[in-house]
Amino acid sequence: MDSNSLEQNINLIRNNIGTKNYLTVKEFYIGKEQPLDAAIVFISGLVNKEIIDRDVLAPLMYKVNENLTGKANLADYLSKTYIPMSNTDVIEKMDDIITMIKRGKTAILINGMTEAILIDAAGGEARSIIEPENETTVKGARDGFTEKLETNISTIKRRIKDKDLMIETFTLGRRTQSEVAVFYIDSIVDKNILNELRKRIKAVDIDGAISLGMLQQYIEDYTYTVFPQSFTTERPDRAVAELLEGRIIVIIEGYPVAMSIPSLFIQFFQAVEDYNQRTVVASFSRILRVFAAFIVLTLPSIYLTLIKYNVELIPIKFVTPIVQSRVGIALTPFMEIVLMSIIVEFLREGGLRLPSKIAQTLSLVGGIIIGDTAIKSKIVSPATLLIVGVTVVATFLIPNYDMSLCIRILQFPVLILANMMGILGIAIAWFLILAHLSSLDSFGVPYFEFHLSDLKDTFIRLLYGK
Amino acid sequence: MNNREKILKENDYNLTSSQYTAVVFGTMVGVSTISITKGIVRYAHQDLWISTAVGAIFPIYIFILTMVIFKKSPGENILTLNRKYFGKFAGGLLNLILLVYFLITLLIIGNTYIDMITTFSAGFLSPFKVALAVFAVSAYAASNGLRVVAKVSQIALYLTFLLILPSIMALKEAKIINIYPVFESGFSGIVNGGIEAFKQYLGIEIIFIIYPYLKQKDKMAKVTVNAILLTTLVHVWIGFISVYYLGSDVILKSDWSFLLVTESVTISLINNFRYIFILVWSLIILKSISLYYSALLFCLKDFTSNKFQYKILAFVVLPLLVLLCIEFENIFPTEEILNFITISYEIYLIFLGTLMAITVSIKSPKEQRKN
Amino acid sequence: MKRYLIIITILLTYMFYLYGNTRVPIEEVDIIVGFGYDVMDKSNGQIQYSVPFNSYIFKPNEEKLSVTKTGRGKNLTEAEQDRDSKVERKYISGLEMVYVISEKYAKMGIKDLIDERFRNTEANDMAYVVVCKGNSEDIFSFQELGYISTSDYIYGLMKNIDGYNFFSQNYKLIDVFVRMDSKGRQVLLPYIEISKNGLNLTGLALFNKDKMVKKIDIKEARILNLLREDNVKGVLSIRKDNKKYIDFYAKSKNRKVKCYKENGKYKFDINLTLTGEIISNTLYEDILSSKDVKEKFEKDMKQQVENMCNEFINKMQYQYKIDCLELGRYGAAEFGRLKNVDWNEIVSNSEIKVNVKVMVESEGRGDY
Repeated sequence: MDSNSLEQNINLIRNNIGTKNYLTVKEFYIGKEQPLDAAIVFISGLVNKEIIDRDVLAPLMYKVNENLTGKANLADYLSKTYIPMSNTDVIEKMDDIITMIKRGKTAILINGMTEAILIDAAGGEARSIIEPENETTVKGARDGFTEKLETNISTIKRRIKDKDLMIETFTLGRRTQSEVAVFYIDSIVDKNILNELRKRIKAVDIDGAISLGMLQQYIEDYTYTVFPQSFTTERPDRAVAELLEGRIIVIIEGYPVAMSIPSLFIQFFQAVEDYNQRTVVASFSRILRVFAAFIVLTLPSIYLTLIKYNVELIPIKFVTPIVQSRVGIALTPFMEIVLMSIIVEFLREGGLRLPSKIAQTLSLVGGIIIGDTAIKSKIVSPATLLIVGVTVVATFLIPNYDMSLCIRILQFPVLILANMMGILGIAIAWFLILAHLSSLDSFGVPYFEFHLSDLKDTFIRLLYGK
Repeated sequence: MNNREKILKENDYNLTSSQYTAVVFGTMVGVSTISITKGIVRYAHQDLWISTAVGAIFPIYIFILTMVIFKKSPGENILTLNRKYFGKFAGGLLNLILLVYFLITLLIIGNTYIDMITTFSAGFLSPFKVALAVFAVSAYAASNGLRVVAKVSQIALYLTFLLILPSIMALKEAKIINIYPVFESGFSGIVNGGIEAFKQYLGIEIIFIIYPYLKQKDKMAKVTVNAILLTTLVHVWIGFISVYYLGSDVILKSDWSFLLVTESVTISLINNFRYIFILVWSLIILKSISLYYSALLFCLKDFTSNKFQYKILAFVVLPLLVLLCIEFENIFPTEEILNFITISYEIYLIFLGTLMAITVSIKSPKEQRKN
Repeated sequence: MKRYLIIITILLTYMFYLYGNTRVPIEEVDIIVGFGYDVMDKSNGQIQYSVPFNSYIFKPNEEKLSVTKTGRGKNLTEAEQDRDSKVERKYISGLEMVYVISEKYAKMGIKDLIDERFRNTEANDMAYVVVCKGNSEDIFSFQELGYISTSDYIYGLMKNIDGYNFFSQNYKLIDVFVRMDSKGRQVLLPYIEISKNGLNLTGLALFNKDKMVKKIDIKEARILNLLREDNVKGVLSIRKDNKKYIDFYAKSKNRKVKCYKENGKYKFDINLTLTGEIISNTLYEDILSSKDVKEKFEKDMKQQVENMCNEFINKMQYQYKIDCLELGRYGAAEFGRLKNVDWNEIVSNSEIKVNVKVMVESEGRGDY
């Protein structure tokens, strides 16, 4: 602090935090005979007032029975003698003090002194740790990340006791000034990637870091691709697993999701459960997931080409029911499939934000009424509905929400290509997807690549310890 | 150079061993593989499967030449070496012949594929449409670099085996006596068939160009031999199972004999295996086209003295390729011309490789081995 | 820059999409389930080709019908074009279940139609090929009760043909492809005709190369099949009188053919092993418990089968003069395919020995 005048300092803080803010400033005296002018400054709502009253104000106001005027290292002395709290700090720089107050610390300023005592009495209401709703498991840990960064740090620290676990913090957003925590295990992380990540986070210049998704898109390499380029999770155990694989975990304050960098394509098809279950069971579900993705992308297109271009390839036993269900339907097969897929997208998007009570109505109307009447009114054929239905169900097998959305969207270009060029269209679509995936990288690490030695933990999960 | 580029550079034009294998395998196994029996059967009859193995002499010879060149100058490919040793003009001419060769090969593959896809499953498509679609996606893949194509080739390699595997089911449908008597065609018949089979192994010459890009240089011999072995295996199997199932008399009549074999595979959900076969084979051919496209881009980049990026070159030659491909029948009206071109290129490749191997052995100073 | 590229790509794709797209969906096409091939004599002495097809038609009220359309012309292609011009809807082939060739057509040679099928990539190679008495058109219009089309009925007939009389499943189009022009091989097709109790299989049509030469009845066909096919099943019986007989459900296993030359003459050995179960027995007593009785039965059966076979081979060598047992195939494998030899002649003039081994594997639940 440049000045030792209490009033000036308080005004400075007030101006920096914002004059129309809930800044609480309480002035009081410390000491006997020649009491010192002092003030305690904090933002109400971020601080537990009870602690302040009991452990800071009470001792300072009642217990100081000496004359403190002219005492050297007064701040240090005070915090060591009269403030019975574990987390106190003496700080001189005004900028730091202001930042800390914004983050929920409490500052004690004393007239005639260029230092301030910072107390951590952070409080205020926050959501407690609950089981993550979007990534539930049967046998896994039940805790999820919360909005509070300290809690998230503690959940991770509790799981990794290694001294090499590093946590770096950055400030992001001009106005929100959110804290961003970057976790990594120093001895196994790739330093090139780490440096690159630091550089990119520092280079981000936005008003507010509202969500992790924004940060993801600010630091990724390929802006036009539909594939998610960094893996996100709500589960600390998953995040820890990523850390142990040498990845970097990034968590933003106020956002209960962690992202891991660098990310690979196959990661999005793996779930926590896989490591919890028997090898055979886990491998089976992994293969099932990849197969599901294949079904989502290709099944409607194969169905379309079969009934539109290559009828001779459907077995005669299937031809009869398919044709019978299709006779009299006005829409072309392509329109039929697209229409039904879009309706499913309506239901999905609509159901996403609805309160659960209304969502029931949606599923009733969507599933039963639309499905049933669409067939009865000869808008779509039952076979088409079955195909679209299977596709939708298959979407749910992809454990990661970002990836499942991406695969669903990709289904449409594949369908259009199939409609244009038949079987060749499907081949071309697959080739494009493969080539595109192969051309991506996440922080320089190939996004999609086969290594024979890695196969033990990609499509299947082999035994541990072997 | 930022950190990402640093990591990328380590990875990008350096292929892993399995990727390298897949690329070499991928250039040899492609559109003509399912009609491999067509030319050979005339000489080798029921022994054609032996001839397919004999044909492997060609890639092995090219491989030996490459090893000689590689030992002396592991960092530079034949395009650079040509210019280095034979001067700007002669070297450039040699490279130009190679460029034209890759161009023609691309056209042949494209044209054969158009033939196949329009006869077998998509007769409603015009050749222009197929050519444009196929070359455009290949251009996209090739423009993203060799590594991208290599990864696709890796998948294609697995798919190739996945496709060929079901033909094992044909074993129970026929009898081994179709193969007998073995060696009836005699030495000359088998060798003539083998020479005919050389063209099935064309594509191996890509190792002249890509050998500097293998990451683990010490594994060069192993991975190339692996690729040649796998290719030979595929060729011999296709030759064998075709004779086994169809007999040599029917093969003589059929253009795509292996497709007839796959007809014997019945899958309960799909009437016959052909749909899956054409679908997956299309992917494999798209891979072949992108590989040759990459090779073409390598030559073009060399030809334009590295002035342009792959991305630009790829899409500049695209219209030309499509145009030439739909005019293919006018440019090469008869099969004899094509055969002549193929044979002359076989000779050219052997000549070029031998010439370079000798030149490198004589001229290259010893210290280059350090790299 | 990138944005413009994307817009241009989308526009081009759209134009690409609009450019030529002519296919109608499945419900608007007729599905051909059977092809027929007939020839007819015309009054002026010329012959006329007639090619019917049998197709499904689907009606909105869940009704399924089958119709037969016929075209006629001076040759196969002309007839086919005539037929196609009579069809008011688009139709697709490739799902056909049967090819029915009339006897007359078959006797004139089936090379043209096999060539046409071999060229056509849409042809279903797995469809059965049968020869019929009379015209295939009549076969198609003959309605068998409970079946949508005659093709379905014939398909069912063929599908289950291998359960009795030692028939194999090798009567598909692809089998014709691989047999017709191969060294030492002969085409053999089932023969069907309409009798008073419906459409029935009545024998086998023997071919020499592409021409049908002879129809043999079921009784003879059974022996032929036994000698020619691998892993087939059928019933053999020994009959004393109407009440005393034994039926043996035999499976032929490990059929081996040996071809060798002795004094410049070809010789063939056919070794058959028949294993199976006794399905009815009123002839032998104690066959279940007594080893001797069982062995006696096995010996009797062996004798009978060998006699039947020799009788047939005699007939084949002196009457039919074609190698319908495909013995030439083994000869070719042994002595080479490239020589231009007529295996029909060689087989007709060589010694053919049949060795049969009979083994009773089970006798059923018991001896009543």
